[in-house]
Amino acid sequence: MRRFDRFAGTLFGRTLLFIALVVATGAAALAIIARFYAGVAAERAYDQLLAGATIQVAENLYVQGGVLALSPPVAALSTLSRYDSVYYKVIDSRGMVVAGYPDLDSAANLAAAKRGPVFANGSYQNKPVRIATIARYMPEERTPGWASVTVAQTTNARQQLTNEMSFKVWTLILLMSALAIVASALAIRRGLRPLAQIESIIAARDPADLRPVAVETPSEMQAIIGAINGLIARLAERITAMQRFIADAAHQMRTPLARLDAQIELLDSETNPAQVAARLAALRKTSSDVGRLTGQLLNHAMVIHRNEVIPFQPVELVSLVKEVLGRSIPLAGERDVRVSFESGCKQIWLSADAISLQEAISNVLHNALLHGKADTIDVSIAGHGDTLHVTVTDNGPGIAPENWDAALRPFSRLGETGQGTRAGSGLGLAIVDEVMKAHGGSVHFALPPSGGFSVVLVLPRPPGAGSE
Amino acid sequence: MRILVVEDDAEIGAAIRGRLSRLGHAVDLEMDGGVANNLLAVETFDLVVLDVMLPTLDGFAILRNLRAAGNTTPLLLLTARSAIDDRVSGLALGADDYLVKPFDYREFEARVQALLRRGSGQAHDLIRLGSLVIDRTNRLAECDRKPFPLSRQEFALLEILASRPQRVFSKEELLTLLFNFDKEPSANAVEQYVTRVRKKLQGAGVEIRTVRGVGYQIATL
Repeated sequence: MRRFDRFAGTLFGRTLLFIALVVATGAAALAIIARFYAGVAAERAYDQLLAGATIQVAENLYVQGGVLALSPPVAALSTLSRYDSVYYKVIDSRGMVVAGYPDLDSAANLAAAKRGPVFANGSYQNKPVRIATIARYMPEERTPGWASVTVAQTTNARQQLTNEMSFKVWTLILLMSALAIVASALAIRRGLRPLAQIESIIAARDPADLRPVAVETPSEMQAIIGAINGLIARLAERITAMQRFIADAAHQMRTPLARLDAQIELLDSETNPAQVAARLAALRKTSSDVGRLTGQLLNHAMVIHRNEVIPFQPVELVSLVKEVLGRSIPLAGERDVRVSFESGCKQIWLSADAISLQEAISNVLHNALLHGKADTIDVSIAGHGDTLHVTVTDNGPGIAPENWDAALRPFSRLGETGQGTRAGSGLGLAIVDEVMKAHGGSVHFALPPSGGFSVVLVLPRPPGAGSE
Repeated sequence: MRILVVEDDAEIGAAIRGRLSRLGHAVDLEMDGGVANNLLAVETFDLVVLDVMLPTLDGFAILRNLRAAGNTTPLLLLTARSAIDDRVSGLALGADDYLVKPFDYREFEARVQALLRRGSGQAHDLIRLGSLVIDRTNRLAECDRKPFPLSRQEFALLEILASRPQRVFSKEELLTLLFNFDKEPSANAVEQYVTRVRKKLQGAGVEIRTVRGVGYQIATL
């Protein structure tokens, strides 16, 4: 049973079972029809013989002294009685049985029998019989009128002929059905061969080989090949992006590390105390750059990982933003940063990954501090139609509008000349972008009329949340 | 102030101890988690600086034991784990603040100062004065439910004064509480900040009074 289940589970098995079912149904119908026609044919053939015998009997009637008599036509009757019992009955014009078995049922109406032999099915001595009746006008009789002759034959020979004929036809049907099923099996095997071919091509593929699959297949298979090639193309794109990211990251890591080495080297040979302090400050700055970059690389990986695997949970946005604000703005920067926070509503619950959101908002704040050279940061949460805007506005120069698109790409340099001025990792806004995309939102930039620069995080507004 | 530093990396431990000593604090440095845990059970400190990855007993366990015993000593968690580790950022275990390694020592110092200012045993971190609400955890202020923009130093000044409204703080006291070792502040700087905060407080129902020859005091009108 289990083997059958496995067979029926295959495409081959399923198709073949279906074809076999159709063939078997057709064969059964054909067999029934064949049996019917065999019966009809046998009946016709034997009715001819029966009719002949009946006519012979009728012709052998004669009248002797005005009384009807019969000389039985032995030859004709013996032809009929090779396999069967034959009974006959002769009735004269008066209706008296003059020969044969009086209890044989004649059944046929006389009017029809006057024109020729009339057939009927009946039974005699509990055996099924075929009965033929014919009438003959006998003018020589004392009372001239119609005599009727009835001949009955058991149905053994007819049955035998019917059986013989139908067995022959049934054998043919069986053979044809078997042939059809075998042919179908071969055809299905052949039809499924491209699938197996694709399977072996994919299985034999080197994981690094991301060229599209090129193979001649029937047009029905092109859709599958197309889908596989689409997947490979997306995979290749992803891997290329990842390789580029790793190459960029390596470059980004090595540069400040090399600078660190250089600064230690310079410090080592410095004797002027004032210069030592300056070099130390530079060294400290580079070191914190390396730290921040490492953190950002890990956070970027973490955010992408979380986007893929961590399910969203209810998060309260207002307290989350407040908490990030409290922790992200350094207490000991060179600038004494002025911070304000405003929210249109007290609580906004949404389905999100709290940690990714914290990371995104903290990155926007760090960006304002590092690149914006800002000393005023205003954060606000407000609902706009069916979206929520978390806006971080600083009073720094921000990002020029022509660089807004590029700013969201990892390690984009925004036309900076380098030379130690760059404190960011180049990943901050890329992380923000990833997080916003994962939450069904987006990142926008704006230049508010009151001056400064705004980063706007747009999130879909949950139904019923954030009434003003 | 007496501070316990639990840090298994000798260099980092020494750097932290150096920083805090220069600020005039008495520093106990422990390198083993189990020893620190036992020490905290019997001794009292004004602040604990706790690393997460420690030999014998990790920082999370020490923190859990401390809070389970009802000890509310301010605690600054140091971690080299990801900044977005659930347990750290949620601060669910009861740390008052955290820093991710590597950190800037000036920032470290500022956060230690902020925690020491807050002191232990604070029932909640919201101070209300008139229509002014000071959220110490998130370092945000509100006035009449409207944002009340303050710089970091202005906030610190307001926080110090508002934490004990009856008390008069001298200029020298404010100086040590407000500024880091690296900066070279003058009594003048305190005056500047007081002036700035005073200006902002106009209309808030709260004012900073000058007590002649003594210092400053906050009061509701």
